[in-house]
Amino acid sequence: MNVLEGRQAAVRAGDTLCFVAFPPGETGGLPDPGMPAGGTANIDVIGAGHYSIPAGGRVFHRFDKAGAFVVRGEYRRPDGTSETGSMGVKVSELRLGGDLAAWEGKPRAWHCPRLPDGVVLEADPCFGLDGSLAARPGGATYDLLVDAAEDRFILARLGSHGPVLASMAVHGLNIAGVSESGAYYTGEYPDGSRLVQTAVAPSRILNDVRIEMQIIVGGVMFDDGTLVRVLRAGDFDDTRLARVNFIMPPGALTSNCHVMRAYQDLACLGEY
Amino acid sequence: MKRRPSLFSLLGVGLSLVCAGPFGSSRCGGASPGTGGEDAPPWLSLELPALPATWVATAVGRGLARDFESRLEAIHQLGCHLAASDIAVLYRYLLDPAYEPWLQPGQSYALKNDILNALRAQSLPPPELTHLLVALYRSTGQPVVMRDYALQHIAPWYARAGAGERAELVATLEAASREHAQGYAGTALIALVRVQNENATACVGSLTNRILEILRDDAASLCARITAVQLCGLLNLTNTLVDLRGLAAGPRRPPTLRLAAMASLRTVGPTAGPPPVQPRPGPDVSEAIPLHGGAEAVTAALAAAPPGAAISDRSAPIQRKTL
Repeated sequence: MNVLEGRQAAVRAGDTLCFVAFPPGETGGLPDPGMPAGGTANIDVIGAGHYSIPAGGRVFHRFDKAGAFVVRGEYRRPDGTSETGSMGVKVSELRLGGDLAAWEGKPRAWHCPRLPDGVVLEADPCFGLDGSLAARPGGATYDLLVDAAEDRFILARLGSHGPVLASMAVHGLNIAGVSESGAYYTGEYPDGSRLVQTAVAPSRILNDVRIEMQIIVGGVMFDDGTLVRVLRAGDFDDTRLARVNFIMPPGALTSNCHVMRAYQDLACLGEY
Repeated sequence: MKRRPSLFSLLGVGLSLVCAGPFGSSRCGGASPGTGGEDAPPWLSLELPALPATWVATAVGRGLARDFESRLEAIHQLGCHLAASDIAVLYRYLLDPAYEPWLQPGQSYALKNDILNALRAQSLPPPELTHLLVALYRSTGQPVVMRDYALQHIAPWYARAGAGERAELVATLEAASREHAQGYAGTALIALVRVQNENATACVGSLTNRILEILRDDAASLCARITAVQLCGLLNLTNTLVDLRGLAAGPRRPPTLRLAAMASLRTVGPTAGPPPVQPRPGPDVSEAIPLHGGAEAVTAALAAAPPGAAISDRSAPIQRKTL
């Protein structure tokens, strides 16, 4: 970019820009081997670097940090005359957050961080996000909805069709529970209580997703005597299946009624 | 920020309660087959139109397909924009305690449970659903299972019920929790805890006292008492430590009650642990449980049924699909 042309640039942290300093029109805007010899160019990325090079040379400067930078340039001819100019460089940095999990067909909350000016969100077309999100630059909570138990992606671009500033994967999953697996009497104990087994089978195992089952009917318990069972990644076998045992005490007339919720950290992915 | 309605929620996906599975009894108390059940309550005054050949008709067993799977599928297709006339049809079916002899035991409960799920998932809260749930619980002509289910549905329904109806829902749960002789008193306790935990502004009375009343009532039903014991652990009611120790150690207590007590002791008295009570030989299975081994040992003892005790006729899936 020719600093003397006074343009504005928007780049991502970590991007490198190539600067020249040359009077517009004198060489058609590009360093020209035929330019007068002996001139010099000074390019000052204020606060970040100063470069003095032979006229016609190029400076490659990497912007490591986000912020608004001013780049000043000076072209000094061999006869001592000079021309100066400056340009602005806006360096953006954004982290959308770690990868998310979402339960197919169940909206989950996602807090989108504040978006730098000009940043546009894009999402897979079959994903429950659309371009209207870009109109909420101040940070907001949205419902994410995956349409299938597959990965979906969100991109943050520097302007429409611009470079990708940040990206985030949303790992869609499905969780089969008692409705799909069935519930089986597997035994009756001498005291008359019955052991009932059902299965929980996520379509994929994600290390930071846990499944909480809570019994909602009187008398029924998990086989450790409790009302709540938490299933984590390590509780599933190689076929992604966890067998869950319920004890139905004598006199229990209903089924092993329970609710099943999935969580990623504090975020609830849905209820079954 | 207002949440965006999602496509799938509009389609009615996201049902909450899961009550499919085995049923300990095929009893459907109340009306005999084909009687049509009880008189409709006064708030259900809609004239029923002729049933169209819709999912609703199939759901309530008045369509061409009357088998369980077809009806279950129809219920799952009801969506979340049911017409008032369709809702009235569903209400009538839910209130009808008549036995459906063409279904296997327990299947009508599963269907009605899923209908209640579908009603709760409506985009506009169905009018009178609060009254329906209360009526289901109060009706002694309903099978106990349905009365229990009604209590289960009250907890997730609370947040969507009209503000003026919420006190009635809590009062219903409290009333049910006072019926110590019924297992659904335990269901009501769980529902009260859910209402309290999931609704910041919910006004649930002295929940701890209700738990303690059942916990200390030797005449309470085993199911209700087990739940009270479990909630002591879940809510970490440290003032129940002595009660829980007593229940866990009592050699003549039902094993399931002792198992629940030991589990709660791990929360309420983590440093105390189960008391080292030596088992005594005897015919009572509870006496053969090695308490000093902790709840896991009790579980193992429960599982150590003598040969032939396993119920081969109940080892098949009760309903729904297999894996």
